[in-house]
Amino acid sequence: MQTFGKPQKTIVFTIEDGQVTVETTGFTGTACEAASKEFTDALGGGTVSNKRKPEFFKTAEHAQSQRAGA
Amino acid sequence: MSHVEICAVVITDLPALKKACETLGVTFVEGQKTFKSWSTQYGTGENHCEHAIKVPGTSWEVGLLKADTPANSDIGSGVAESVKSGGKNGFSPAFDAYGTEGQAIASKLCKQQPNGLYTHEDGKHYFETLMDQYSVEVLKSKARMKGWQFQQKTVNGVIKLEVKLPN
Repeated sequence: MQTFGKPQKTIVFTIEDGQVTVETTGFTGTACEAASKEFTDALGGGTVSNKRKPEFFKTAEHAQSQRAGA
Repeated sequence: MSHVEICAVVITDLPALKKACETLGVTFVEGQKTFKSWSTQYGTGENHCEHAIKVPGTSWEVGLLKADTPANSDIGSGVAESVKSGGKNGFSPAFDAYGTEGQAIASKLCKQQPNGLYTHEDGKHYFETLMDQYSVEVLKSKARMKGWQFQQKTVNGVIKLEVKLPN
């Protein structure tokens, strides 16, 4: 069954030169980091850099303002 | 897109390493405690390791050491030794890159640089080919455990693994 309005949650790993770049799409708020954590932990070398996209904060702010207005 | 993260890789998952070695056409030998190099061939010393990798076309081997350093060890004509204690909970590959024996290993497990060599400007070897294939196996194993679908493709030598989560 197709779910309308819900973007597909995807994690794309780009593996090159002994490092792995992780990009998440289709998540809201911090769910993306929770979903990828088990994978990144398994790689064993820790995080070199982590950039949160504007969408990350927008969804977080949105959720916060919704809670404040509730 | 929610976030972009860059991760370093340290070998900790031996079954994933074994699969990576099979894919690359080399042999992982779990529990082999010494590995061959110039120093063992000429009797100047013995290399101690925790596990080893055998590469076709050469009698020299890669040793997997308990180490504080990432995968960049070229032991040269010296000898290798795992750290006795306090090392990371993982393994770092090491080998002797000298001559045709060393190059047989480098060409199989390291990435060729634009200048045609497998050595970086800092004189080190980073085992990119091995570490990349190991990463693929670790990530695929995790996706399988979760029952999530994945698709792997390689474009211009760069491996991409796309994992789809259930909505």
